[in-house]
Amino acid sequence: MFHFTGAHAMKTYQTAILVVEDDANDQELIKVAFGGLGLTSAVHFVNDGREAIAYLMGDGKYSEPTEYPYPSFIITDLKMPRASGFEVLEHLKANPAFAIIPTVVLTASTDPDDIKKSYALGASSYHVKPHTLAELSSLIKVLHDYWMICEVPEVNAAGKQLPTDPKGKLGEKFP
Amino acid sequence: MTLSPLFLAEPRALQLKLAAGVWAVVCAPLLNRADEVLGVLSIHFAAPHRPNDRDLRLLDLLALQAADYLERKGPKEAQARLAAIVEGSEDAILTKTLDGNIRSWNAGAERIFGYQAEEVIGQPVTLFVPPERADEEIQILERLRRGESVAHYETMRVTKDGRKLDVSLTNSPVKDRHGRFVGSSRIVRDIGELVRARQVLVRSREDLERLVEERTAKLREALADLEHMSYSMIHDMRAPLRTMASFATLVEEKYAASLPPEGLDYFRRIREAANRLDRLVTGAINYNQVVRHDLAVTPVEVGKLLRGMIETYPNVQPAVADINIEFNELVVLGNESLLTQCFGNLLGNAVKFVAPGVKPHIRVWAESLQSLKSKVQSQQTEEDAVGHVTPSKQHASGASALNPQPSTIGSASGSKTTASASPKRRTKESSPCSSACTGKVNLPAPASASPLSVKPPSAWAAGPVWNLNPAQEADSGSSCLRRPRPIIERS
Repeated sequence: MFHFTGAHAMKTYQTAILVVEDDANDQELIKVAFGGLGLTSAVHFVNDGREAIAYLMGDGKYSEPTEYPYPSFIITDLKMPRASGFEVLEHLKANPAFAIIPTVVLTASTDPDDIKKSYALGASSYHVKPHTLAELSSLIKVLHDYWMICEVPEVNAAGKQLPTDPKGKLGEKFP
Repeated sequence: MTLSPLFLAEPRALQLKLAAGVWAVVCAPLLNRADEVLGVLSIHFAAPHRPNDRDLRLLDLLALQAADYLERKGPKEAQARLAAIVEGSEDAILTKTLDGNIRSWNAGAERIFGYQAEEVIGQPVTLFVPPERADEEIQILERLRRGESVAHYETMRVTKDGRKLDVSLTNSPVKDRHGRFVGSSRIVRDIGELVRARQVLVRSREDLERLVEERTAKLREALADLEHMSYSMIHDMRAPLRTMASFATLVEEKYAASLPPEGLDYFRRIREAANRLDRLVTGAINYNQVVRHDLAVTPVEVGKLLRGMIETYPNVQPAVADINIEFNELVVLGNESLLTQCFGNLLGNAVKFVAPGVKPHIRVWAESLQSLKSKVQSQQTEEDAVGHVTPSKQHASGASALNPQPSTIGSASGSKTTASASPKRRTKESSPCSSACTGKVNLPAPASASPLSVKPPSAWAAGPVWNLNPAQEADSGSSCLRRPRPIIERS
């Protein structure tokens, strides 16, 4: 777990970023990229989809919320052993409690079928892992800056989405 | 001796008769009722003889009778011959009166229709016509009355036991001596086998087409699998390359102070090698896409395309490069998206590979290429590099206007996405050059306005292809394909 001190706090609640990545080298490079930014968020790394789902559900070793805070932003790879990025996306989609978490796919795959599937499963955006470190750093910076300033509906102090009224003020229905 | 005209007509007859001991001949012509000569009746005498009146009268009587007999018997022989032919025929041959009633009915008709002659003679020919074809006989009769023959009319008729037959009818009018229509004849041929053979043919063709469909579908599937595999492999291959390039960069950035220049240089080489391999690998993906899909070929306005690029691509904008397009409108046949990539790369490279500190001047023009096969709008690519002559970085496979195909640019070291026309034509990467370099693209002029669909590489190989190797490069103007002047020239 890495903590980075940041110049600006963009959200009023505790933010955490979850990165799902199986390749040790890519993990290291993403760490370096985040390191260069200077963040207030905690960045947590898990090694595959199954770990990611366990983290989200607070299973097993992830049961302690102070140690493993609720993620307000997820970056996930696609091709991973045990459970792929698609399964992470499916899990997020199937659980309304996680509906507000922006999830970005960061993968080396340029297969158009993967792109289609990711968006169909609710990914916020799809990015191809850049080849150079400089490009990776600037991509991470852009993603972080963008998603950290977006608004969310009611959340608690830990950033976890609170169950909200499925009806709006004017009677609109929300799924 | 008086010579009868008979002997004049037939000279040997005289000798024969004299040799036989004939001394006199009395002849009378045999005339039918129409006064046509049917033959001659002659009486031969072994001694000189002068016929008296009684002899002559007897001769006349005999001649009359003989003529009568001939008149009746002669045609009858011919008739008998014809009758035998009709009876012996496999086909049904029947004759009809003016009203369409059956007058004669041969053995073939008995066999085909199952009716004996006695059963049908005098009956209308509509007896055999199935109800749904009721009008046919009327129409046929009409045409026969006009003197037309109705030949090989394919239709259906019904036999005595109710079976429906596929038949071919040939009807001919029968006229008397004065040309008056007195009836008609009909030949009915059973074409059941022919019809069945045709059906078999149609079914075979349908089977074949279905087989082709299935095979094509299987091939498509195999190709899709291959494509999927490629994506997977390329994805896996890029991972270690990323690692190599990125960590080499990290060393160069973080530990520059603690490494001697040589060490830093080693890491730089690692990084650049990894970058180059990554470009090669990503180039392969694009080749895949081209192979997989039939590319739509449409008329493309090149001037507009290029100008749009210059406006929007940051690396070729006026502040960065002087690009002069020497034509207003130029329409070619090509795949628009691939052409965009192609020109984007050509322009990008032209701008990139310039000596440091120099603003690139790029000239873009087009010229028509007179090839041996056909007329093609041509723009060709070749690039020289400082220090060594290398083959073109990018080149296209041309196409004849007769069989228009898209131009694609092959690149071994292309940046973003360029389709490779053929692995054989990949080239080495060029290093920056300070002298003028030219890029060329061969594109077909529109033969027609309608969009076409084209097949990938194997079809392209049939068109005029570029085979640029260092030896040829040095020898300019050696082949007519290379004679045209380039489109992109950098000074």
